[in-house]
Amino acid sequence: MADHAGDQPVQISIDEPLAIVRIDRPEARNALNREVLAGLARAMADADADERVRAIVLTGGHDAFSAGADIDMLSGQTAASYPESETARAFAAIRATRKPIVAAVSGFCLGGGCEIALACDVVIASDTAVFGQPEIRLGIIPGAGGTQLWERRAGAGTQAMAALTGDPIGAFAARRLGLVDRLVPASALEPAAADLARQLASRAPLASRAAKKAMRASWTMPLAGALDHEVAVMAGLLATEDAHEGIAAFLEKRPATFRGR
Amino acid sequence: MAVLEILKDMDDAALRRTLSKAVRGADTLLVRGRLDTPLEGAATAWIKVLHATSVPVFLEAAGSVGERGLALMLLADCFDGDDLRLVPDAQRHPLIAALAVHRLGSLAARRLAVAEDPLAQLLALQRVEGASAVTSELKQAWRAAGELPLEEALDFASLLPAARDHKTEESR
Repeated sequence: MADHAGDQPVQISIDEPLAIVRIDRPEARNALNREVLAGLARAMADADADERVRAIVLTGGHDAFSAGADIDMLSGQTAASYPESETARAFAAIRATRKPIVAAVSGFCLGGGCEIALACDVVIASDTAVFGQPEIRLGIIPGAGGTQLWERRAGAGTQAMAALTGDPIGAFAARRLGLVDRLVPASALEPAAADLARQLASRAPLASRAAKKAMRASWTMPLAGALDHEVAVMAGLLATEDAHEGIAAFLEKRPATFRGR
Repeated sequence: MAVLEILKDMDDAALRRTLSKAVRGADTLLVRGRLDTPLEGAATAWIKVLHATSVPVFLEAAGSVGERGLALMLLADCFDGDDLRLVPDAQRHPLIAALAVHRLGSLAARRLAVAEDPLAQLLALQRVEGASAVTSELKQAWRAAGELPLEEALDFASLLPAARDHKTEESR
């Protein structure tokens, strides 16, 4: 897979075993237009398919991860067109990524930008990050997970305040609420995110994907079903070389070498 | 250095706007001007701006110090001033109480509230002449220590450039 560079609003680079996906539209605070969303969906799919990649870091700029959807793009949508829109498809593609994703958030992370970050598996933020779902102030609601994903991390009250007031919260408040998993100085954000992603990438890749799949099962099934699903996924892993290697390495008191088989 | 002059009729909303603008991109901020204004509920907005900024803030105090002035003295990283006169009971405002605990600790906050000469008490505790020691990184570390559990605050502080540079120098 070639690196996408130059004037693309979404850039992907491979630093094996990581893929670094960067939203790069600083003149618009990384606002999400069709090009950005299509680029993100493509980058995530490419990273998911690339055998060199075991974990993904998704980031934006120093001043903005993403300030949200391009208003011009939203204003062209209708009740009929939105469910099948590029916006909806792009977010679905991001959420469908099988490999672990670390969101590295600095500056504004609002609206659709916040929905992208919260759809990732781990969120590391700089002390300058600001999170919010301001859609209600435009007479609409978050349409890509923003009425659901806050609750999963921070509880019903925080979800309600975010969706109903549209008020932003700062990085330290986000950390206290559990919206963010770790807080770092802005200057250390990308190295910290990459360090964590490398840690995730060092784990057995099949188990990583299986764990993510099992965690996401609760998005589509009740608890009982998700628990049964977890058992089935675990049973499948026991047949893998990586599981044999992991258990053998533990018993032999040596580091495991996982090959993704 | 950015300079913010608090004017006679500057209300809390205007102060918040002016402060927000002043700290954006500034290396340091010097605040001076009218300090005798009472605090109202809307003051929490600019107090939060000053609390959150990593820009070192210096206060030049002069004349009559009211609730707003006291709040600024507590929030500033250092201040200096002579011939200061405290507006009676300014130290007993609830916002001052909350700020004082945060900046001085519980016991010192209580002493401030009941002191015969609160200004002298505050000056003794807070007065720092000369301001070059306060850096943006120190403020970031202070804020992290105030907002995060200790383990997380330590992890945060260890990633600040000064901590990393120090480590690099030691290893040479």
